[in-house]
Amino acid sequence: MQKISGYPIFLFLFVFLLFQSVPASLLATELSGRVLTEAGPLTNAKVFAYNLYTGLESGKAPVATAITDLKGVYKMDLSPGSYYFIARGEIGGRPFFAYHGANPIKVGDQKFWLGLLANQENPVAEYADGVTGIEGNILYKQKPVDGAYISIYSPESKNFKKLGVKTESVGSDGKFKLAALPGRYVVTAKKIVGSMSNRPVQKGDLYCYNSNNPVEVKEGKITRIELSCFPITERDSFTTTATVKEDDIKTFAEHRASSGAGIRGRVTDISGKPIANMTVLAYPMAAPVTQMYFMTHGTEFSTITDDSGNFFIPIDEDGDYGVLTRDVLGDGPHRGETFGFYQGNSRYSVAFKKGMMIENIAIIADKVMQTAKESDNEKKATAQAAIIGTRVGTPVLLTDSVIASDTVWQGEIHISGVISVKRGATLTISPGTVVKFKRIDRDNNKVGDGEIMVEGRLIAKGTSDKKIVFTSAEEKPKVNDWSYLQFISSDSGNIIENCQFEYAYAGVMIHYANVRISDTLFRNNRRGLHYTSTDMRVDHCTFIDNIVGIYFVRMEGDTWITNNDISRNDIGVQFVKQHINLVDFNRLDQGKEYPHYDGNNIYDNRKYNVSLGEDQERNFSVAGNWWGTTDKETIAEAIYDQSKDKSLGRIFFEPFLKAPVQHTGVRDAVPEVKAKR
Amino acid sequence: MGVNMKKIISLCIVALLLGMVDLSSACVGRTLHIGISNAANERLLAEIASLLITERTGSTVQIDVYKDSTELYNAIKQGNVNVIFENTLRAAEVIGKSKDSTFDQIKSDYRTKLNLNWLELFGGSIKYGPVLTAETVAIYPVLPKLLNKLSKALENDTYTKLLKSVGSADKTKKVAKEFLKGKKLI
Repeated sequence: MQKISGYPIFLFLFVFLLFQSVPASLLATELSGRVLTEAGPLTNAKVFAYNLYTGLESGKAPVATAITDLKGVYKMDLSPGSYYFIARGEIGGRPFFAYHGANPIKVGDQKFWLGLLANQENPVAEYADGVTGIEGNILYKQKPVDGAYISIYSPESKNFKKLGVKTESVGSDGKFKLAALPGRYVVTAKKIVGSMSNRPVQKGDLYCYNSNNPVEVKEGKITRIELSCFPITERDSFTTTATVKEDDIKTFAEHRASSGAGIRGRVTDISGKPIANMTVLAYPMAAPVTQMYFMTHGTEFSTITDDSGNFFIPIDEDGDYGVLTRDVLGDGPHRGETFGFYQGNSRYSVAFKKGMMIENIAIIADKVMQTAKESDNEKKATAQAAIIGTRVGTPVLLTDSVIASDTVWQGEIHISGVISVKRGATLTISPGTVVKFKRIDRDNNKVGDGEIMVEGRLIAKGTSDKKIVFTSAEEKPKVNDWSYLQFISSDSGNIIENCQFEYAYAGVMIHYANVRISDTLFRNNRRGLHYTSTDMRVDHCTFIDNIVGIYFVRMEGDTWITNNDISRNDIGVQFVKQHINLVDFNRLDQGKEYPHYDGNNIYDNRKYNVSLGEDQERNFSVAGNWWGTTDKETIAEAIYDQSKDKSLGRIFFEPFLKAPVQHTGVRDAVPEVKAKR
Repeated sequence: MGVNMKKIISLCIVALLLGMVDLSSACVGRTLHIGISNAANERLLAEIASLLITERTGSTVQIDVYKDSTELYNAIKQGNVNVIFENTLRAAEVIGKSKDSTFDQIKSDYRTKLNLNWLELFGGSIKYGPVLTAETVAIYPVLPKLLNKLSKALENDTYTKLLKSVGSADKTKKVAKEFLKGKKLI
C-alpha cells in the first residue's frame, strides 16, 4: 500500500491560510471615481458597492464603502466580481443620491474610473385610491423629460436593462401612468435621443431612477413617484465642473469597449455595401429553433454599426448568442425596415466563452417585405446550383446546416435539425420530392425541432401528380413532429405550389416576407398556415384536420385568401393579438391593411369557423364566403367575437354566399382528401 | 518550484475560483408550464387553464405533475413552472402562517417571500386561485386578465360540482372542455 505523507496536506493548508490572510487590497482591483451633482462635487459622500441588489435595497453591509474628498473623488479596492454602485451625500441638509445606470458593473483585474452623477433624493412614494399601478413624473434638472420610456422590473432581476415586466412610452410632459399587479418593482426610465426606441445608449441619452426603489404597488392604490435623470455616457450636459481624472485611467465605458471580449463583425447589404447605424443585437439563446420572442423582448447585449458597418458587442457571459441586426427596435419588423440574421450557422448563433473575441461575424441585411418583381416568380436555380438527393435511390440525411448558394432538392430528403437558406440563395425543390423531418426535441418542449428557415428564397413547385410533401419521418407520425417551414424577412419571389404539409407545429410560417401559395394541402398540423406581416396569395388550398387552419397576428401586407377549403379543423381561421407585447413604443402597431378572405368555403370546423383571440379588439370582415349554411344565426354561432366576449372586436360575415363555391381547395386533390369532404 | 508545490498552489487557486462561480438562471421558451401536485382537483384546474390559454392565446401549454407540494415549489424556484393552482389553506402552510391568515396576508407574503402573484380566488368553502411567477406575468401579460375570468365562472359551489362530475381521471379533459364551452370562455 502506498504511504501517504502528511507533508503535502500541511503545505496545502499553509498556502490556503496564507491566501486567506493576504489583505484583500493586495488581491483587489483599484477603483476610483468622482461623485458630482449639477452644482459640483458631492463632498464627504459615501460610495457603496453591493454584490446583490437585495443588499442595496435592504441597506445591509455593503462589500465596500468609500468617502469622497473635497473634489468629490473616491477610491476603493474590490475583488473581481459584479457590483451595484450607489452614492449618498448631503448638500445643505438636502440628501443626494446616485445610482450607476450600468449596474451591476463587472470589476476585473484592471483599475478603472467610475463616475456617479447625483440628484436630490426623490420624495417617498405616496398612495391614493385608484387603479392599481404607478404614476408620476420624470425630471431632468427639475424639468419634465419629453418622450422617455418607463420600465418596471422585478427586484430579483439580475439587472434592469431589458424591457422588464413592462415598458411604456411617456408623454411630452414627462408624466406617466401604468397599470401593474401588486408587488415590488424597480422603476427606471430612459430618454433616447431621436426616439429610436430601445436602441443602445448614445451621447445625449438619459437614464432615470427612483432613489426609493424598489417601489411597492398596493392593491386598489395608485402609487405616486418621481424619477430623476442623468446623462448615461457623458457628464458635460449635467455639470460644468472641471475634470480631475488622470488620462491614463480608463473610464468604465472605455474599459468595457476595450475589454477585447465579445462579438465583432460587419453589417452589409447583399451587394457587400456597408450599412451604418444598424442596431446589432445578441440574444442568449433559449431554444434550438427560431423564436420571434427575441424580437420584442430586448437584450442588454447590443450596439450600433459605424460608418463602415462595423460593430463590436462587449459580452462577458458564456453562452450561445443569436445575432441579428435591425434599424428599428421595439416590435417585430414592419414593411420597409431593414433586418438580417447572422447566418453563419443554422441557429444564427455564436458560441461565446468568457474572454473570447469572436471576429468576422458577417450579417447581410435587407428591406423587409420587399416588393416581388415579376422576374422573381419565374426565377429558377442557376446552372451551377448544387443538387441534393437522387430521383430514385437512398434518402439523403441533412443535419443542422446553412444553404449559402443556389441548391436543388430532389428525391427523398430527411432532415434532422434546422436548415437555413441564406439571404441571396435560392432553394428549389423539385416536383415529387418528399421532405421528412425526424422528430428531435432538444429543448424538451414537446415540439420537434425540425425546421427550414428561409431568409433567402424558396421555390417549391410541385405538379398535380407530383406533389412536394413536407412530413414527419416518424413511423407513427403526429402533430408537432416538426416545427415549420419558416420565411423571415426573406428575399422576394417565394412560391409554394402543389405541396402538402403535415404533422408540423405550423406547416408554413411567414413573417415579414412575400409568398405565393396555391394548390397546397395543409393537414394534421397544429397550425396549417401562420402569418404575421406578409404580402401573400393563398389560392386553391385545402386546410383540413389541423388544430387551427389559418392563424394570424397582424394586419399588415396585401393578403388574399381565396378559393380555399377550410374545414374539419378545430378552428378554421384565428386572429390573435401579439401577446409578447411588453412595449407600447409609439410606433408599435398591428397594421391597418385588412386581409381579403373571399370566395372560400369555411364550414364544419369543430369549434369555430372564425375566432378572435384573447384581447383582440380589432374588427375584420370575412364577407363573401360560404359557411356551410344559409342560416344567419347558425353562421354567427360558429364565430367567436364580441357576440361571445364583449372585450373582443367584431367579425363581419355579411353578405355571405348562399351556396358553396365550386372547385375550392386543391385542384386535382388526392382522392382520400376529396372523399372525406 | 517543485511539482507538488505547483499542484498545491493550483488546488488553492481552484478553491478560490470555485467560490466565485456565478450561477445563471433558466430561460423561458415558448411553452408555458402549469405545475400540479398529484391531486385530482389540481388536475382539473390545470386542464381548464391549459385549454383556456391554448385556445384563446395560441400559446403552447404543458401540464407537469410533481410528487408533492414540496417538489412543486422547488420546481417553481428553479424556473421550471409558470403557473400553479393553490388553495389558501395550503398556501398559509407554505409560508408558515396560521390557517386563519387573510388572503391579503397570504398574497403579500407570496409576493415578498416567493415572488409569486396570486390572481382572483374562486370556489366555495375552500378557496383556490391561480398563482403566477413574476417572470410569467412579464412574458405573458395577457394571462392575469384571462385567468381571472375563471374566478366568476367558478364561483360558489360550481367548482365542487364540477370536480364531482369528473369521476375518473380520463374524463378530466372532457369536463374541462364542456365547462369552458358552456361558459362561452372558449
